[in-house]
Amino acid sequence: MKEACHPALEERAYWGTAGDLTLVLYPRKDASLNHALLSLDYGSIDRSFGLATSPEQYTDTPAGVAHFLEHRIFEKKDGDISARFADLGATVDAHTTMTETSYSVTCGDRFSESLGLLFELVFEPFFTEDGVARERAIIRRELELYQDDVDWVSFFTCLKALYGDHPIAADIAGTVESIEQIDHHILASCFEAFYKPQRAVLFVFGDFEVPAMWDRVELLVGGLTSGLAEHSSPETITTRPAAVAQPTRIQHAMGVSEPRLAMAFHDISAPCGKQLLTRELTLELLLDVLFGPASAFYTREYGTGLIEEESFSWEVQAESGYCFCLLSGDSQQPALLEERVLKEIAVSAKGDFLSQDWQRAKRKMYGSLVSRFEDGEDCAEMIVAAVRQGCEPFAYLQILSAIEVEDATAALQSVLRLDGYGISTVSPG
Amino acid sequence: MPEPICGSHHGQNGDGGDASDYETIRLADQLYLHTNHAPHFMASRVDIFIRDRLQPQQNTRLALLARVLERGTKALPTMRAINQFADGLFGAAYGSGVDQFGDVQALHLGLEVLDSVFLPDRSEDLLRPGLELLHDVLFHPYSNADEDGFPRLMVEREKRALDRQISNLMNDKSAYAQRRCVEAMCRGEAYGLSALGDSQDLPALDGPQLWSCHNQLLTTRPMDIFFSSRQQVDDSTIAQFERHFASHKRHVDSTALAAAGVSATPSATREITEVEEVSQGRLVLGLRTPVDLCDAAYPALVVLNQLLGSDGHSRLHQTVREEAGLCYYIGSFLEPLCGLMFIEAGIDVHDYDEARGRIEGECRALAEDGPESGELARAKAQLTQHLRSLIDDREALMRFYLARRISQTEPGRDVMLRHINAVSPDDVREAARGLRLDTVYFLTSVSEGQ
Repeated sequence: MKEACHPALEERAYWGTAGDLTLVLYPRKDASLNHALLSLDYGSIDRSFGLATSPEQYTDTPAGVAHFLEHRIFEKKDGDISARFADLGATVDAHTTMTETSYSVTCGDRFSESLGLLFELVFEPFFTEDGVARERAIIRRELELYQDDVDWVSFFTCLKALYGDHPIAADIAGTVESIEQIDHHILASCFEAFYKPQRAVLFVFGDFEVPAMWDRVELLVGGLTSGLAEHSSPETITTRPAAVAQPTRIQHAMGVSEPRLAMAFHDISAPCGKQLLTRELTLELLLDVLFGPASAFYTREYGTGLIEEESFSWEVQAESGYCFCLLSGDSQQPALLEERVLKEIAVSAKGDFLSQDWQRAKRKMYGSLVSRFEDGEDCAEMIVAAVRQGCEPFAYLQILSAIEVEDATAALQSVLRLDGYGISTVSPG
Repeated sequence: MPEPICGSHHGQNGDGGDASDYETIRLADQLYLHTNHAPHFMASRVDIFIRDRLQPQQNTRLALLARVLERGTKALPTMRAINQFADGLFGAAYGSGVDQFGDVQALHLGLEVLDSVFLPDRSEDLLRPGLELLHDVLFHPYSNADEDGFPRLMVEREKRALDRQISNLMNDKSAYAQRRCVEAMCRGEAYGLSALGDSQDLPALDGPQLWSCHNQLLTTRPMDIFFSSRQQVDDSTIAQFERHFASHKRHVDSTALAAAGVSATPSATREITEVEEVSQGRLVLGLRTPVDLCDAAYPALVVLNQLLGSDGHSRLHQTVREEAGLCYYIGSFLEPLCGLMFIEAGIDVHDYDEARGRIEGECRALAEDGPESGELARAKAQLTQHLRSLIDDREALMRFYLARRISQTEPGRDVMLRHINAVSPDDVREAARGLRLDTVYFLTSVSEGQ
C-alpha cells in the first residue's frame, strides 16, 4: 500500500493492489456521503480480444457490446439489482466511454453493504435471452435519442472526419444494425474476457478507517477470485487499433436551428503515462488561452456574432492509444469561423502570444482542479485516470504546477496543426 | 449589525435538518441575507435572487438585462476584462441569468470562490474581490451617460444573442417539447411565459428601457442573498454584505408579487401534435393537481411523484421501459408552486397510443388501488435520503428554501421529512385521484395519416 499527500488539502490517499484489483482509498473524516467507483478497462473501442491460451485467435465483436453489457449487468436472478441499492438508501449509476465501463455507488450509512452489492452487480452476471431482447428495444430508443442530440451527433461526425472508420468515431452504444447481432452468448463471452479484477480500478471515498476498508475490499476480491477460479478464465489480450488521423470534411443534416461547426485535431506524439496527463492539461491550458471566455478571440468573435456563448466550447480527450482535442460551436457562418480559428492558431504560434495570458489560465486551472476534490464523486474519475497511467492519485495537481509555456508551444505544434484536422458541419436539413 | 430573524437558535435538530440550514438576517426592506455554515465545502458561494412576477414583455426585459449585466462594469468595462478578473480569482465561477419558480421570474447572480486555505499561498482572500464584483455588476454596470443607460451597441449585440438562445431551444428536443407543452397548457397564465423571454418583444427593447427596468428591480422587488461558506459567518462578513447590497434606498411593492395560486381545472384534455425533424418522438403529458407547495396534501403528491416516475424504480420506468421496452427514458416531475405535474418520455413515433395508454393506466391504477406497501416504503426511504443529502448539494438546498420563501411555506427539511413519512397509502391514492390530464403534447416526425 502506497501513500500520497494531497498538495492543497492536507489529506492522504492510499493505493496498491488488493488481490488482482487496483485499489485507491481516499478517506475523509465526517464526509456525509460515501462514494465508490469501480472502473473496468473495457470500452466501446475494445471490439476484439484474444485469450492467452490461444493468442493467435482473436474474437471480433459487434459495435456496442460494452454498453449493452453495462445495461444488462443490472439484471439478476431476482430482478433488477438497483432496487436493492435503493433499499440501502444508495444510488447506483453506470456509464460506458470509449475506453472504460464504470459503475458507481453513493450512499450515507450502510456503505459496507453497498460496496458488497457493487461487487455483486459487476461480477455476478445473469444474462437471459428474453432480457437481451427487451434491452435491445430500449437501446434502440437510446440510439434514437442521441441521434437528436446535436452535441453528440456533431462530436462523432467530427471524429469520423478525423479518424474515418476507427472505432473511436463510432457511437458508444453501437448502431441499430450492430445491436441486432448482440445476443446473450456474446455478452457472456465479453464478460468473461473483460470483467476481471486485474482490469479494474476501485476508488473508495468517504468516512472510514483505512485498514478496515482495505481488508473489506480484499475480502470481496478474495470471494470473487475463488468464484472466478471455478471458471478458470485465461488472461485476456486486447490490442486497440492505433488511431491514425485521416482528415476529411463531413456535412450532416438534422433538425437544428443553425449550423454547428466542429474541428478535431489529433496528437501525433502519442504520449503515455505521466506525459499523457501533462499533455491533457497543457492542451486544456492552451485552448483556454486561445479560445476561452477571457481570450481576445472570444471577445472579438462574440462581438461580431460569429460565435455564441451557449455552444462555443472545446474538449480534450487523452487516453492510452489516442489523444485529440475538439473545438465546436454554433455559427451562422461556419466557413468563416473555421477561417478565424485557423488564423488564431497561426498567430499564436508566433512571438510571446501564449505567455501573455499563461498565468491567468494556470490560476483558473488550479481552481478547477482543486474544486473537484470537494466530494468523492467529482474527483473519482480524475484519480482513476491518474492511477491508470501509473501516477499518484493526486498527480494532476502536481503536474499542473510544473507545466510551462514551452509545453504549450510544443503541444500547439504537435496537435493544432493547420495541415490536418477533421471538420464537420451539422446543418439544418 | 442587523438582527437574525430566524435560524439556528430557533431550529430543532431533526433527522433531516431543519430551519437551521440557513440563518436569515434582514438587511433592508425585503432584502434578506441567508447564511449557511458548510464546512464540508471548499468554496464560498453567493447567490443573489431578485424576484418579479412573470409578465408579458417584462419576462423578455429581465432575460435581456441578465445578459447585459454580465458584460461589463464601470471598473471592468468589457466582457474580456470581467472574465479575466474572474479567472484571476482562481477561476471563480461567476454568472448572471434568469430562473423560474412557478409564476415567478428571478434575476440570478451567482459567484463561487475557493476558500483561501486551498490556495497556494493560503492567505489570498477571494471573497472580498468577488463581492465587489457582484456589487459592481448590480450597482455600477457599464453604462453610457450620453445614451441614458446601457450602451446601444451592447444592448443590440445581446438582443441578437438572446434571440439565438431562444431559437436554439429547439436543438434540445426534450426541453423543446416540454416548453411547447407548457405554452399550450398554460396559455394566458403567468407560468406559460418563458423565463428566457419572447423573440417578438426584442425589437422594441432598448438601453433606456433596460436601465429603467434595472433600477425598478433594485429598488422595488424582493431580494434574497444566499451565502454558504466553510468558515463561520462572522460579523465582518455580514457587514460586507450590508455595505455592498443594502446601502441603497428600497421601497418594495409587496403587491407586485401576489401569488397566482393553483390553476383552473381543464374542461377537456388538449391534444397537440407537432411535426419536426426528429429521430424519436417526445411525449409530454401535462397534469394539473389541486395541491401546491402550501397545501397539507403536498407531501402525498411528492410521494406519488416519487413512486410514479422519479427514477429507475418507479412504476413508469418499470412498466413502460423495462416491461414494454417502449422508451429509454421516462420520468415525472412536479412544478410545486403551481401544482402541476409533467410526465415525459422519448418513444418511437409509432408507439404513441401504447405509451400513452400505459402511462394513463399507471396513474389510474394508483388512483384506484393506491401504492403497494413495499413501493411506498421505498419511495419514502428515497425521499428521506434525498432530503438528508441536500446538505451536500448547495444548489438544491438553496432552491428548496427559496421555493418555500416564495410560497411563504414553513421552510424546514425536518418538517417536510416528518410529513413525508406520515403519508399513508390512502393519501397517495387521494393525490392520484386529484390528477387531471390537461394537455398531451407529442413531437413527432410523422404527419397524421402517414
